[in-house]
Amino acid sequence: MISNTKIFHLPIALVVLLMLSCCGDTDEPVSDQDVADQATIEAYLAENDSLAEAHESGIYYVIVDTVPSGTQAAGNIMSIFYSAAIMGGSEIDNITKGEEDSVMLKQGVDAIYPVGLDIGLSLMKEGETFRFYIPSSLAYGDYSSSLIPENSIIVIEVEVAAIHNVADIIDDQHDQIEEYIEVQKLDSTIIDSVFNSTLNEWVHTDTTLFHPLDSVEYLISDQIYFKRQSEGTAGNMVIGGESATISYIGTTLSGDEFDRRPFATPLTYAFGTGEIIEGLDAGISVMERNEEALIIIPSHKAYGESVFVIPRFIKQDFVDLEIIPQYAAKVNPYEVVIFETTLQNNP
Amino acid sequence: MKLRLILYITLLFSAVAQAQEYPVDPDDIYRSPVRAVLNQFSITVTTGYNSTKYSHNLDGFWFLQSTTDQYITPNTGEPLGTSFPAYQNWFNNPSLADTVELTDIYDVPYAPLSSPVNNPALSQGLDTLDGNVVGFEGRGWGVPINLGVRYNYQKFRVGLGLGLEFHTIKSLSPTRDDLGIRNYEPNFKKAVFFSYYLNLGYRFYDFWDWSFAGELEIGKQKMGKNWNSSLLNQSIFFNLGVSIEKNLSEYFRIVIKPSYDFKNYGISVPETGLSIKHKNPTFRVNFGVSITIPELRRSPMKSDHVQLKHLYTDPQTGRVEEVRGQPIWKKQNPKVGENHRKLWRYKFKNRKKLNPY
Repeated sequence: MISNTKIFHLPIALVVLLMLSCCGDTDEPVSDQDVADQATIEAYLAENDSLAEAHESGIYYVIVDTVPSGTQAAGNIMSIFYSAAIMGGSEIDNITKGEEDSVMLKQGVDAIYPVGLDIGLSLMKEGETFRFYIPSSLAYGDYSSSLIPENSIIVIEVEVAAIHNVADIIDDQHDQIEEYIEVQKLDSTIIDSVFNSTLNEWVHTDTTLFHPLDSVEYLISDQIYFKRQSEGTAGNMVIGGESATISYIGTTLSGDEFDRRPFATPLTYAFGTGEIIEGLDAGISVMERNEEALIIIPSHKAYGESVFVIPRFIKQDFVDLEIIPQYAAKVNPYEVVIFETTLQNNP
Repeated sequence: MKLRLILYITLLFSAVAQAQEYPVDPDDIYRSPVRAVLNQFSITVTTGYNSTKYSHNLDGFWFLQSTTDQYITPNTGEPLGTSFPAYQNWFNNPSLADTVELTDIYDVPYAPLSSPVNNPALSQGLDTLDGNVVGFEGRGWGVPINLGVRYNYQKFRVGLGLGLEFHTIKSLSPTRDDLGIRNYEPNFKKAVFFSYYLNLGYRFYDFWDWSFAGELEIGKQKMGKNWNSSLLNQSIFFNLGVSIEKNLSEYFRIVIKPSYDFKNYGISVPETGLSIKHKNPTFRVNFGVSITIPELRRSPMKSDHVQLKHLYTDPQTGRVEEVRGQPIWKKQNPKVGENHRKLWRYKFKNRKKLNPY
């Protein structure tokens, strides 16, 4: 009887073994791709770039240019130049030193795509240039487009032009905004005028540049710039707990429109609850209903580091794949945003 | 007048059934006219198992699925705006859900997300699918109680019936499993259906004590309070089946009836002018008993142990009457030993014996 039981157990053990082995198989394809990528990269490096070192994450890097000392810590805000290409293939994106300004990004906070670049940047110091070989699992995976084949290995050469701190960026953006206000003549105090000595008074020479209503006001506590463009209903402001209905046109300092909510299809949101970006909510808080205003928001009150994506022109694909948020496709890292907003009556 | 005519007609047909020969003029034998009429009718009571297959598709609508809910909204050919009416419970009671706002809370000007790249929160949202690719199907089952009365004329039968079904419904699964659609959960689990129907049949085959009759039922099913009757547009149902009857006696039979209901219903979606067609055919296996009311009564005499149908003379009036010697569920004119209690009791055990005792 006992021996019978043993015989009975044998098939069960076999089945369990089979199940275990099949479960192991399901994990295999992922690592298979990694193994294949690793082999491809190593073969390529042996032929083309024998100085490359392997990083534990799976990326390979070559120190192209190094500096004797410097600092690096996760969470740094960096300005970089780069050129990215498919390994052994065509270039997919670049920011070239001398031709364009460097781009800013924040390293180490899941705000860089592809992820392999985020890992790579953590190895770099200010002034250094590295070349990274990023396996597909840390690049675009099985995503494919006309430019990026499926399971591509990516080569990115990066120069860290500068490492910034937040205070510098805020100061810098304040300067940019002040300059913008001046160039756009947003302050009603700035009018093209000449002093007529015979009349002994200022004469406006170009009133078309005269921006209506109030001067631009810097709201110190909210750290945003606010300019009233048309008067609203006196005293009818949004109070906490209410919902606010707004229409707006969102632009960057360079004038590019990135988003728009027409008057007919406004956005209604819970005011003062953090549902929308801090700077815009703060701007709405000083508005009266039916008022139109220009709200200029430095990046730390808007989308901050947003997401830095290579290549820059196919961000929407990654939004659709639910890899990056929609706002990241519209607003670049550390971008000052301007909302020309109308606070409407609630529907 | 009409009733009398029916009585005469039925009496005429009932005369066909008499075969026993008695040393008395048949005209002198009393026969109850009431029993003669009732004898033309059979009463059938059945129960069993009903399996209903529900299916529908959402052609003409958008199908929307959030992490918790499923909705539909009319497909006007235009892309959906940011806000539109959404309906739920389109299976039984389409009603306006809260207006769905198709907002991507990771768009401008909503607040930024921390650790945005590959953040699982990005996949939270409302999936929108064109309804012409979305369908659901599922099963419900029920235990019915059916009561039918029919009039028999030769091999034909015409009757009326009532049915009650205690129904349980399960969730409906999507017809396509590659779109990430979850099961549709009706907002109720149990229902009681009531139906009434006309029954037409023909006994097409007799084999020893078995009879086979093809039957068609045409009727209406009331699906109860779970379905919004003001939005419901129900078809007449047709049921086709074969009634397999084991005649235990002239008056008593056991019935097994496999059958199939063809039916569907449309349910309108309020304020849209659109409706959704739901098919709900049912396969039924019902069993029960059927009795025919005997044209003769049992012998009123307690000590009368005569087994066959026989004549009985009323001691007071001298009226001669034919009476039965058997209860209705036993063969009325048994051969020797046919209704023997022991033989009945061991009928199964002795089924292959040539001479059981």
